Amino acid sequence: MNKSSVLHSLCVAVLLVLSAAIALVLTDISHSTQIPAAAESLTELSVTETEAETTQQTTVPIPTVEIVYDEYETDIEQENFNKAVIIGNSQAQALSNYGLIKEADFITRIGLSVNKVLTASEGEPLINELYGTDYDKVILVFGENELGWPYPKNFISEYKKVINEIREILPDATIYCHAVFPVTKSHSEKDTIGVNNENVALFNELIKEMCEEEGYEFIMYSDAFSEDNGALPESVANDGVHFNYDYCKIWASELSKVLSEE
Amino acid sequence: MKKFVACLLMITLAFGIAGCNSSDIPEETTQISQESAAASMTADEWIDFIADKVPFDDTMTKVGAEQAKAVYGIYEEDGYTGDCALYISTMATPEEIAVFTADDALSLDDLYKKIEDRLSLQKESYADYAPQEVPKLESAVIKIVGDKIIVVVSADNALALEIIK
Repeated sequence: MNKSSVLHSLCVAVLLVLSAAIALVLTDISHSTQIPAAAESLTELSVTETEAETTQQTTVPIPTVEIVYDEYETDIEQENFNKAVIIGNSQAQALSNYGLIKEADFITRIGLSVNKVLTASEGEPLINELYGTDYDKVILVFGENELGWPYPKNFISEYKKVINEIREILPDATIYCHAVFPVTKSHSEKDTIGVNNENVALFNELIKEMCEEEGYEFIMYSDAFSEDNGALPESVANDGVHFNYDYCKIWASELSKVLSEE
Repeated sequence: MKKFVACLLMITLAFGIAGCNSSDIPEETTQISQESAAASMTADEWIDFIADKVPFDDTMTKVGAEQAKAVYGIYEEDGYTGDCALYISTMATPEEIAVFTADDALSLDDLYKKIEDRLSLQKESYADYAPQEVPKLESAVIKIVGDKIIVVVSADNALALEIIK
């Protein structure tokens, strides 16, 4: 190998090393510009990254929602809810959230009880939502959150105040008072604050009595919601109180039939 | 001329070798392709994806887009027609998964305000009704992915945040 050949080989080697270095640098630059650009699409607006609370409840995987209670009617005649308003607690809100009754309007809140309808700690009282309306059917769903009240008759006196106010606003509307739904047997047995089926029965007697005295319509739930022991079937409510979509559908169907009878 | 061609070949070879040695490329390419796949997911696909991976204490039910809008206070007059979807609880808990896509009528900022209002009302309601559920709302995940805004209130919001990332 002569001197010229050695020099040529050296040049080629240096070129090779330089080229590799340039290629590596270019590759790095191209990556460092791509990654943040892609990451920009994952902009975080507001996330509180506190650890999720440990819970004593059993974590239940999402079950497939299917209508498995074929023996009960689930047809919902929407036209029966024309000019109807449903006012009430979380059970009524579930009915609203599932979108089972399109024709009716809903005035509902989680944890709503009769003593919170006419007053408000902030903003307007809920009852004000009735002003300027022409509903001719008012369906009231109360009692579940009042089961723990020490004096059940206070529930009735507060309930009457609400209905009197509704009648002032909508004098021609028919008032329907729904019975309090039972809770599951296991929930009833472990209850410590009054949310049990003994109180459900007592409250329903009081509501029925009020309806008979005042000329309101009383709506009782069907056997679907009450097993032989008078309790809500265990399988339909995780917490023993709030029943699932299937049961809301049965309830909506029952309501539509009650309204069609009027 | 021959020398010039030889040098060009060397450079081409060197680029090839350098590319092969860069072992982190496949991983980052995968990450980028996952992100672009996430950006192209529909609202319905998003809520199913989250529901499949995140635990919930309540029974969750998927409702239609109309209900998603109704629950989040999006009314007909808003003119919103974006892709949206919702899993909702029995009301025993405030758990839910919601996804809304921004459109000409409601921007991501508008949707964010609707979500804030919804979560604020839920916090107020559950504070009285079931205070043990409030931490789920306080740590609720609200996240933007592309033109979508995702809300998760679950039994494990930290996990929800992780899987959305």
